[in-house]
Amino acid sequence: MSFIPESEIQDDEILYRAIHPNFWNYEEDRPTSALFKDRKGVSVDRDGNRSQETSVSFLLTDRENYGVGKLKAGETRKLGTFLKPESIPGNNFHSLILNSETKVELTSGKAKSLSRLINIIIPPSETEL
Amino acid sequence: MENLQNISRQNYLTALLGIQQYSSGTVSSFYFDFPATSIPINVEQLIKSEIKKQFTPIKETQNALVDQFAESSIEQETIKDEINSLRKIYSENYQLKKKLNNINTILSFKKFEINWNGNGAEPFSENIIQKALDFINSPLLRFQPNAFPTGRLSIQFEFEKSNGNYLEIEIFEDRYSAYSEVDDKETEYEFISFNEIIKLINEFYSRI
Repeated sequence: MSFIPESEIQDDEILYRAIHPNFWNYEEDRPTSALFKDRKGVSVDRDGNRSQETSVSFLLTDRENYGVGKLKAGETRKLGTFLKPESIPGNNFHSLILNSETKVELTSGKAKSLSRLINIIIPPSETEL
Repeated sequence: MENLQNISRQNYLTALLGIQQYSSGTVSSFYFDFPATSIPINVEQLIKSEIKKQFTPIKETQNALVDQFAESSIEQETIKDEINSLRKIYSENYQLKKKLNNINTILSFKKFEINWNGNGAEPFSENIIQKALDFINSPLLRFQPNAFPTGRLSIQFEFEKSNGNYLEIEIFEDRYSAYSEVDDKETEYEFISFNEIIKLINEFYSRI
């Protein structure tokens, strides 16, 4: 089945999120909720019928020391977020997690819930300050 | 004759001590080696003296034990004080170490260039870096948090306890915000003053 970039994100889809090393709490060994606080919405890649290996490898291109986590689209929606497919040049799988259909930035509560929900595939590498 | 003298001595002692005489003629477990012809007038005194003699070493041992216990109690108190003092030093050092880490972390945010998060985030202004440093350096802040940058031009501080209670402070260019999860109750403060933040942190740590 061919993938249509602007198609609605299905509940059973997987969303992959790149984790910048600064968004990791090394003391607690978990992502910080700051990972989901972005003025432009939370940038993720939907799986688009790709394997996890392919999706992760694609996401980590040119992202040294980054980690990767995954979220189930349905569970993300259940928190009250809005999932928006938004392909960008060179990445048809790019999508955004928004607070709602009309508000971009997530509330602190939703950001914290997502930081607990995300399933870590690869943790980021600690970098020198 | 000797037997009669013995009986007489036993009767005398029995009357004196108020101990019931047995048919066999024995008096008690006490044994006094008096010559049959010279029964002491004040036997009571003698008994007391004998008892005293036997009890003196016991009392001395008892006193020595009491003294020893008192000494060991004092030693225990001293050890407790020393442990508390070491704990305090350890806690202060830990907080100081965290403070230095936080200062380093915040200063490292100065190096962030545009798109530092891979999603077009802007660099942090001097003003926000200074606000974050002022917060960390505040003498009112007794517990050091963990510091993180966000992609919405804010610096986030997280306080977490082993029981899962969580407090988050966000410093923006023009405001402070806070979010807490305490005993499964979520509270979000979109605008909060610096003094209210310090109060929140102190309340957070005063809870068990």
